[in-house]
Amino acid sequence: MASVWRNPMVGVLALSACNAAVAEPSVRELQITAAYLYHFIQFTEWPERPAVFRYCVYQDARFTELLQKTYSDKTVGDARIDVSNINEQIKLDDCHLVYFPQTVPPDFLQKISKYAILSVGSQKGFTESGGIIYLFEDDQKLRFYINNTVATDTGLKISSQLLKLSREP
Amino acid sequence: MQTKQSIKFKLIFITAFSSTLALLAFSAILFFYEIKFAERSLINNLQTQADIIIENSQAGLAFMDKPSTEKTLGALKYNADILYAGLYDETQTLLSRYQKPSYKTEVVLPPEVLGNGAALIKNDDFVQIIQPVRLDNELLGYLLLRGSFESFRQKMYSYLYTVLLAFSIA
Repeated sequence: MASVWRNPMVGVLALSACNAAVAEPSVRELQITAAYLYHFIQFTEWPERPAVFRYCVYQDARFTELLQKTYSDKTVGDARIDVSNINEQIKLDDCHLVYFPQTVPPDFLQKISKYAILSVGSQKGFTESGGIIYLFEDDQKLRFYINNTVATDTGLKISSQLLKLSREP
Repeated sequence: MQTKQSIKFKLIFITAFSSTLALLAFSAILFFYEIKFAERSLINNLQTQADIIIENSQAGLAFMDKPSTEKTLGALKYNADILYAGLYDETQTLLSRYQKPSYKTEVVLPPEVLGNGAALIKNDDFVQIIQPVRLDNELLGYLLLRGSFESFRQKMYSYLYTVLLAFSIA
C-alpha cells in the first residue's frame, strides 16, 4: 500500500481525484490523495495536540469511505485518525483537517480560517480565498502550495521540511 | 681501564636499547590505538550525518520529492570522507544520491536490508551505514551512507614517516 501511495507515476492521476470537473477518480488515484493528506498531518503541529485527529471531507461520501478504510490502522504519533463526511452545517471545531475535493463555497472557507484547521483543496485560487494547502499538477506530478501566513494566523505550525516542498503553482 | 669502558659502553647500550624498545612498543600501541580511534570516529561521524540526513529527508521521501532530497544529500560534498549517499524508497528504488566525483564505484543497496534495514558494513576501503527512514512507524525508505578511510590513511602515513624520521635521527 505504501508504495502505491508514493508512486510518482500515478501522482498526476491523483490530481483528477481532487478535480470536480473530471470523471470519478479510481481507488488508486484516491489513495495517492489520501497519502498526501496523511503526510500533511504528520508535518503539522496544532496548538493543542489532539488525542484523535479528525479528518473532514467536504461532501464526498466515496472518498470519506476510502479514507476510513485506509486510515483504520494508521496513527499520527499516538493519536488515531477519525474520518467523517461533512457539509456546511458541521461544528467546525470538530475538524483538524478539512479536505475539499470539489468547489469550495468562499464563505465556508472564510469561516474555517478562524479555527486551527488545516484546509486542503484543489480549486484554483484556493489559497487566495483563505485555504492553506493547494494541490495542483506540475510536471506530471501532484504538487502543493502552502499559504503559511494563513496557517500561522490560525495557530498551526507547519514543519519547515514540508514548507521546503511547497511550490508556487 | 678497558673493562671499565666496556661496562660503561654496555650500560649505555642496554639503556639505549631498552629505551628504543620501549619507544617502539609505545609507538606501536599508539599506532593501533589511533587506528581504532579513527575507525570509531569515522563510524560516529557517519552515524551523525545519517541521523541529520534522515531527519531532513522525511518529508522529501514521504512526498517523493527528488529535488528536495537531492539538495539535502548535496550538502555532503563538504565532507571529504563521504564517498556515497543514496536515498531509496521502501521498495529499494533509488530516489536521489550523492557520489564523490573521484569515486567511480557503483553502489547498490544490499537486498537483504529490505524489511529491517539498519546495518553496518566495514571493509578495508570503506564503512557503510544503511538505515531505515521511518515516520510514525511507517517505513518511508532507506539511507545508504558510505565513508572512506582515505584521509585517515594519509594521516597514519604521515604519522609513520614522522616516527621513522625520529628514529633515524636518534
